[in-house]
Amino acid sequence: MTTRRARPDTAPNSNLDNLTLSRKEGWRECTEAPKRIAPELLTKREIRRLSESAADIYKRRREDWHNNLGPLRTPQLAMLHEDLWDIMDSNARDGDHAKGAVALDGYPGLGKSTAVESFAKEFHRREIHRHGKFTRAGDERWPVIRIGMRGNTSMRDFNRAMCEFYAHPGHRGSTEELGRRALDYVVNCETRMLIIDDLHFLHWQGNGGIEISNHFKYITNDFPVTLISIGIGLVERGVLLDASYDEALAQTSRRTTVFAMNPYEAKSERQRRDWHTLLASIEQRLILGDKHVGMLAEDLSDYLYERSTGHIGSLMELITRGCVRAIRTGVETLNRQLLEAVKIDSAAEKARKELAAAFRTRKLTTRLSLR
Amino acid sequence: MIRTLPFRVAPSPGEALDSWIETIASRHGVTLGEILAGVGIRYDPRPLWMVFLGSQQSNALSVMTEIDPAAIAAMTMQGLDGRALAIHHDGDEVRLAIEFPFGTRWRSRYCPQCLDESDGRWQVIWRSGWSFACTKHRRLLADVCPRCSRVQRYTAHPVGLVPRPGFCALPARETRRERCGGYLRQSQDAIAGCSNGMIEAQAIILRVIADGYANFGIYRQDPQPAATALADIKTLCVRILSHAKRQGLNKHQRVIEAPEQLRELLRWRHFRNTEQCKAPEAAFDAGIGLWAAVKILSSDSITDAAEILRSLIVQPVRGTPRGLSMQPSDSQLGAAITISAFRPFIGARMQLRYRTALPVPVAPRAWDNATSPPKVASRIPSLLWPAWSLRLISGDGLYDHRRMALSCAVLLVGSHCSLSEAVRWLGDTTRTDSAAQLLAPRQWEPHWRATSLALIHLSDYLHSTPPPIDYAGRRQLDFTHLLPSQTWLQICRETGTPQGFGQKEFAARCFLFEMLSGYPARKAPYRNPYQDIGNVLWSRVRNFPFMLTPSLAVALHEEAARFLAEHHIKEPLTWHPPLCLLDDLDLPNGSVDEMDTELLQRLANSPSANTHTLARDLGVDINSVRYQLEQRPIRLSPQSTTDNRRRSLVSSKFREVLDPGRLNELYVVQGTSLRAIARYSGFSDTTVRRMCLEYGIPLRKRTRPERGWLYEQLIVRRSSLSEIARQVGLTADTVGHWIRRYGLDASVAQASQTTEKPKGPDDAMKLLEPALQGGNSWARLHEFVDCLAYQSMSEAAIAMGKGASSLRSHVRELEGKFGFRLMERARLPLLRMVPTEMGVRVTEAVRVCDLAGYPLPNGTGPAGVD
Repeated sequence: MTTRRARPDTAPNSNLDNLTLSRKEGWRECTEAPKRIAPELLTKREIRRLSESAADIYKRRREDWHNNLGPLRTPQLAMLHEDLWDIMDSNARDGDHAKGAVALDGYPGLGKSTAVESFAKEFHRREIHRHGKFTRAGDERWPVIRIGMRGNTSMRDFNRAMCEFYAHPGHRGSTEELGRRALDYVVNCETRMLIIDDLHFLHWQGNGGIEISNHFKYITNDFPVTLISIGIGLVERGVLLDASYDEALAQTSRRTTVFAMNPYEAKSERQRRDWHTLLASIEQRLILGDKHVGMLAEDLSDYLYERSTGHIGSLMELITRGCVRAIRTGVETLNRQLLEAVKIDSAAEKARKELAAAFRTRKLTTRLSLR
Repeated sequence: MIRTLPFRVAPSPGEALDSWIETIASRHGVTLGEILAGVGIRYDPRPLWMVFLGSQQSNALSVMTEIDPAAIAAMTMQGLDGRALAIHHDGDEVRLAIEFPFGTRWRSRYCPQCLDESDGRWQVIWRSGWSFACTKHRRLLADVCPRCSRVQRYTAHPVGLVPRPGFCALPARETRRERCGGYLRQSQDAIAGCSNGMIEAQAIILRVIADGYANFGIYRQDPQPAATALADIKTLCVRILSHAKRQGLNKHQRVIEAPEQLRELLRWRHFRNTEQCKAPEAAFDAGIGLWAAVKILSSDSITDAAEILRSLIVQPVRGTPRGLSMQPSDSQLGAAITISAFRPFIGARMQLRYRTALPVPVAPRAWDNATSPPKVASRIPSLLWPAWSLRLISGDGLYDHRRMALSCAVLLVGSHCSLSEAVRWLGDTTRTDSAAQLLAPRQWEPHWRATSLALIHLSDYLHSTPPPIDYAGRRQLDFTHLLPSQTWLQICRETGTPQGFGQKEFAARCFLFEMLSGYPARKAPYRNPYQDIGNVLWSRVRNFPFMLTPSLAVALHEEAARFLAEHHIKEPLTWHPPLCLLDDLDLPNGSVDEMDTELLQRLANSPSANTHTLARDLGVDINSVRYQLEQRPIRLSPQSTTDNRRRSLVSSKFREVLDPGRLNELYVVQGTSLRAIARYSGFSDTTVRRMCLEYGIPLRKRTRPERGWLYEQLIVRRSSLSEIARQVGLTADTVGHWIRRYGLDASVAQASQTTEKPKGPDDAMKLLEPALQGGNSWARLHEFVDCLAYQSMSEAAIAMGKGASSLRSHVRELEGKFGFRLMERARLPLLRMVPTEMGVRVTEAVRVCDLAGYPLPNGTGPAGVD
């Protein structure tokens, strides 16, 4: 008999990003990771008195802490979670009804992915807590599956990515076979939520757009999952809402609830208060030897808004890098001088110039008028 | 990185690893190769990973499925290692051992119903040759695919296909690209013939394999490891398959009536239990064989088991029965049961060969250098050791022949050598047919079992312990110059042994020859000058120990030792295996040890003793007496001074008392009679006479008494026989002989019948007058008259109720009064008591007085009155 050697386990990497979270093991590690414990807050003098090795350990622990400050439960995030809970729990309907889908739209750096992931983790934990790690049939339970998209993701790649998430032992198969297999996994692993991140990478306008849209429709209809798509400018691109573009896409948009994520603004007192609360809660978490109350929320409020232009992603990046620098240089506090030396993303740097003028002319402020 | 599989497929109880992996692959919709590659198992058409899974692969599989590595190992054949099969590890190489009972075939039987219920899960035990039936569905396992009729799983599942549990995955016969796809879950009614017995047997075997030991039936008292029990089952199974009688099987199992099934079984006719022997290919064959084997072993004892086996296979035929011959891979118990089954139908030689007397008979052992029969033959004399022989042989007949037969029998024990070979190796002293006849068990009943046990113990002892004597070397010695005549004469002189007239010397030489060579005396290389008295001569040879005195025995032993030294042999003269080997055996001649040796010594001192009388008096057989006398030569009893003493014992004593010179002086010079010399020296006449001959002193001519002289002495003088004998120097017997020869015994009876009688009462009174003095005179007279009616005084005393001595004194008193002898005393047995002439007259006088009715005035009167 002819012996066909099995291919070694060197499957071509899927052209999807974010490898860790697109595998079930990485996903489980994220959800089951214990909550970080903040390092003890020492004064500058106490830090100086530490021995070299102890100081190094303390430094490393603080860096780790500051690098993983989020996600912060901002009002936006809380509201989004509430909405998602509503949708998820209302989607627990029989299989013959199509599930409602969710699209999360917004500019980059606003924490869309972070918000959905934190919700998905919470959902995962709740399901596992309710039903256990294994299904009644003895298979693994994966309530959430997350797929990151790339520009040239085909349907086959998409199906394979789904199978890959579940650790499907095979590497071959047609789109149909992989799709069938993925459905098998979704059903048997009792998956309830499918997150498709960076949906905007898809070439909607090409021929593939219709295909993948139909595929999503198929997923929404046949898979007992709630589809959560995350992308930038989904609405603007008219992918989901513009029924006039194509009738085929219309049904998708009819089933899809769109949530938008906006940057922080400082136009109204309420918006300023939100900004202030955000900074206060960040400040509270910082472990710096020379930090003082109001370091961020009072002293640096305008400056930080100016630098981040209200985008939480940029803000967190700035603060994280600032903290690292403050610790390394021994300043042990965040101030304008230190933060000036920190570079962040180009979009924020670019927008800063416009905002700087506004702040300078007092057209704009983040200070609270009512205390 | 090894990732866990999303679908968890728990192995079903007892599932085989390949079946499980195929189920996993099938569940995930991937090929078998993808799963195998995932855990690093190399594909092999013969899946050795089914035998033993490496730790790396096992751990990978364990990570992938989150199943304990131990549970995974249990799914491989490793889980059955040592219980249903054996695995050999040669470094990294792994293979199934063929020598485990029933080497494993690369294939798996299956139960269609089990496959159906479990959704195509295969049991690992189905791969074992021990599995032939499904105990759950009470049916035989299927051997082949119903569509393509090929055995399943002799090769691994194709690596590039997604497995379909429950379907035949072999290439289709027509085109190799496609698969057969036979539906294995389909119940196949064609497989019939499964009985309750088979199911029970299967259950027992599976229990043994699961427990790792057997404790059913025959193993109840002594549980055995699974491998041992399975070897027993295999041994019996093969024997049954190759030798079963149709009626035997049908008696127990009504399944082989269909002719095609019988034909199937007939294929096994030349099947042998070899090491490589694998389990029967067909479940039905295996079922029949294993069922019968388990049924046999379910008995409580070997005897019961043998009974069943006998009814199954043994056909009472002449010659070596079919099915008895053993194979090296036969297990001990299996062989024991087989041998026991054949025991009633095999003769003595086979019984010894197979050691049937043992509780657990053992097949003949293979020869090796140390224990080859010629080697063992050098440890055995041609005549079995006397100490052993006389315990094993009862009765006197054919003693030597039986001893030779027993020696041959020792060689036969547990060996493949034939009787004729044994006879040859032991020096051709007997004939094969004679030995065979003498070894027949009926000759030994009711002690055959004990005898054969003794021979077995002896054989075992000789195999393990070389004796100090090389009997083969002894048999080749040249015994021509053993005990030359000069030496014999010298020994006789030194020990005071009568040298005899040649026969004795011959006997002594033969005695030594037999002792040293182990050959029977008849094989001695000495010229026999006494052909005409053959039997007597050999009887003398056999009875030579009776001639032995302690000093002679010592001298002969010294001569034997000298002979051996001359031939550069440093061995003890004699030896025999310890008799403790015979303890607790009910031997034919158990009385040997109870012989009273002190009594033997005492009796042997008696004048008329010989070996026959000693044996009779001691109630033992003659050979025991001979052996005892050889071991402890008779010592001369110091009290023994009678003149009729045993020559050989006496003559040495005689020499101490009378040397030749002294005897010559007495007899020749002084002319003393032999009788006188005998009286003088304290020996018997015949001893003196014999010693004269030995000393070379010519005897004077013997005198024969003449009739006239004898008549005078006997009738006229009434001398006693011993008195006459003393005068003529003969024995009383001889004189009696002469008296009868001359017819003088009749004359004695007629003597003195013509005596004058008294004329009347007065005359009578006058005659009796001297006796009538004193009291009780009449009573004394009547007493005298009455006692004459008897043969002797003592007889009369008994009859008359009086004391013999008082009667004698009364008669003497009367004789004193009369001044005459009244009666001649009896010389029994020849001469009775008779009245003398005077006695007759007194008797008549008393009678006359009685008739006259005398009561006399002086108070004396007839007896009874006073």
